[in-house]
Amino acid sequence: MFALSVDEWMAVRLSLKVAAVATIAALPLALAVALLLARGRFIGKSLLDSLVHLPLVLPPVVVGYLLLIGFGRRGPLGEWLESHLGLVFSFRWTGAALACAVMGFPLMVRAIRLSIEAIDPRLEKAAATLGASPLRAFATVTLPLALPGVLAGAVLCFAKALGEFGATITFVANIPGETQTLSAALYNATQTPGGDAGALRLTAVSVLLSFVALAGSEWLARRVRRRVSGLS
Amino acid sequence: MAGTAGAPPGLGAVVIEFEAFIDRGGFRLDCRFASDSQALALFGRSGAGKSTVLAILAGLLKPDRGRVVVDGEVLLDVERGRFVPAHRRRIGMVFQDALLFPHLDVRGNLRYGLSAASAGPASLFGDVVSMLGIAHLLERRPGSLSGGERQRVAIGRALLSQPRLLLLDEPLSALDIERRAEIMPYIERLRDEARCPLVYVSHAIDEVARIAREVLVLDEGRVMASGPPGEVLAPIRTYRGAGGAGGAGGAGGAGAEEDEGADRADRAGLAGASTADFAPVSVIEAMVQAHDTAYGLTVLSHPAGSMSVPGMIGKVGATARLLVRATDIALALQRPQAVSFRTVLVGAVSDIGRDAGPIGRVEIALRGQGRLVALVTRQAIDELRLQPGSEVFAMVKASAMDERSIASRLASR
Repeated sequence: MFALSVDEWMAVRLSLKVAAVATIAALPLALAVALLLARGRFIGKSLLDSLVHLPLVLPPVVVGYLLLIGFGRRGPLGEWLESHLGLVFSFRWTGAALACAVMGFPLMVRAIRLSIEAIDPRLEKAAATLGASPLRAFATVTLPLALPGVLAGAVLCFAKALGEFGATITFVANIPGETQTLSAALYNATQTPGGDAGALRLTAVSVLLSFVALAGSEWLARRVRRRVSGLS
Repeated sequence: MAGTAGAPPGLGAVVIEFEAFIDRGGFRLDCRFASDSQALALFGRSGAGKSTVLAILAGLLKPDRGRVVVDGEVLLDVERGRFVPAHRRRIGMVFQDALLFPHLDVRGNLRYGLSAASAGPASLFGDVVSMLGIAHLLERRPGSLSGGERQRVAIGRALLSQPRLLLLDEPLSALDIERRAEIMPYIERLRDEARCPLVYVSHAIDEVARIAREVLVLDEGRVMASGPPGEVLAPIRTYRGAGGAGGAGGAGGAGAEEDEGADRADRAGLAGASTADFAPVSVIEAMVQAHDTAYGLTVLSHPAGSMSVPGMIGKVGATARLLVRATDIALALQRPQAVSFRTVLVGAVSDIGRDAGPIGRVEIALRGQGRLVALVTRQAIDELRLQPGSEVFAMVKASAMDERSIASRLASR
């Protein structure tokens, strides 16, 4: 009753893989965008800000469909990526990871941006007067101080990716072993006569994973505050 | 000016040539100066442009036009498109609120600049730590330090990056009076012992008088006066605070037209700063002659007379710098007998400034060296028939020369 079936295990493992890859791949770009939004002053900043937040407000199905148009095999980006880098997204687990990364991106950027904004920008100036180049100042002052926020953002993105459904199923469908993530498997189970037990098991796993992710993110957020205040 | 224990002779002075112009959003800076002083102070009220000058020197701000040369190196030349970024200038800075890195302990903060600079003498770290008295703080986090400790660490951190010039931007203004008194000796020590000239920004006249060897008075983004503290701080003209002109309006040149004609004539006659908020002070250098332990007084000798100051100050033979407020001086035509004043200095009136207000300003050239500015009533000036050349005895209340106003205390320890 409590043991997961082979297919269910596969869905859980796939979900974890997809979420991890999505998070790791999105992190560098999210860091750059967060830094730009927190510290940069340029024309089109609010446009970039809106663009980053778009996946948060758009219906996930719309995001999935846009990805399908753009990154499908015949989509302009999908075609280029396949012929130049050999990267295929449509109906592959990589596509699921892309969909999850896009959906989790705003959450990640937001958390990182807030943690960077909490850092006194004059600390970087102080570092400069001590002979640190902008890159060194970022690596030795800004990044360490923002690190707990970066990790919290990553946890949030990971949690979001674990639960992603609409964009993923629209973009890469629901193929067991390839694109059938935990949510998709759960959905399948609810649509199958006699699938209630499986649905419940997957629900329990889902609740557990989300709980761990949230607790981790909260713990990290507390560390940010202590670290930036310089008390610990 | 005969200094206190100054930089060792032969130590190459760092020459600063500065010229900058900024005009944006209601703020204007139009400032040029050159200095080779071991301790230059930028003095003026908040908003006068002092911190802006520092930021330009440090490379944290680009002026609209200007040129900055330090130690022969052109750091900024807007016309020629030259701008050396802050991290390549080797100019250290101590900020008003220390700005220690919160994620590093004190040792990590101190070492931050050390690794970037070319390796200095191995003893440098120990020397700086002991000079600033922060050895016991090395393992602490910045958040657990007091304001004064934080500022000392910030000074140490800047020093360890081995700058050729150290900028201090109101380093004491975030501290209460006790903490200021705690840090001041370290800054004096820094001036006298560190092989690095200081540029010190402050709006506190007593700090400037203690630390500076050369003062630049700034007002509304312009240099109003410059020179040794004894000369620059005394003639700060306006005695509105003590006199009757009252209202706060008319600060600086902008309000000159609203002033009474007599005042304007006075200003025109006495070229110099038009700064409105500072009561005049004089800086006098005198030698420590003896300590009177029974009464807790230090006796200082000056060609114009001996001075008694509360507290045990300096070593015998050391030079101390005293700050005397113009409001704490009384004048007499004959050597006063049977008075409580312990300090009586003789000199000749060199200048008298007066207007229609009740208070006038008398400038006295002390016998030997030094100048003293006194604020007395206009009535007294008339009754004593004071005029340039009159011999006068200036009495200074000993209690007015408090600890804060006495420099070189640390040299005694």
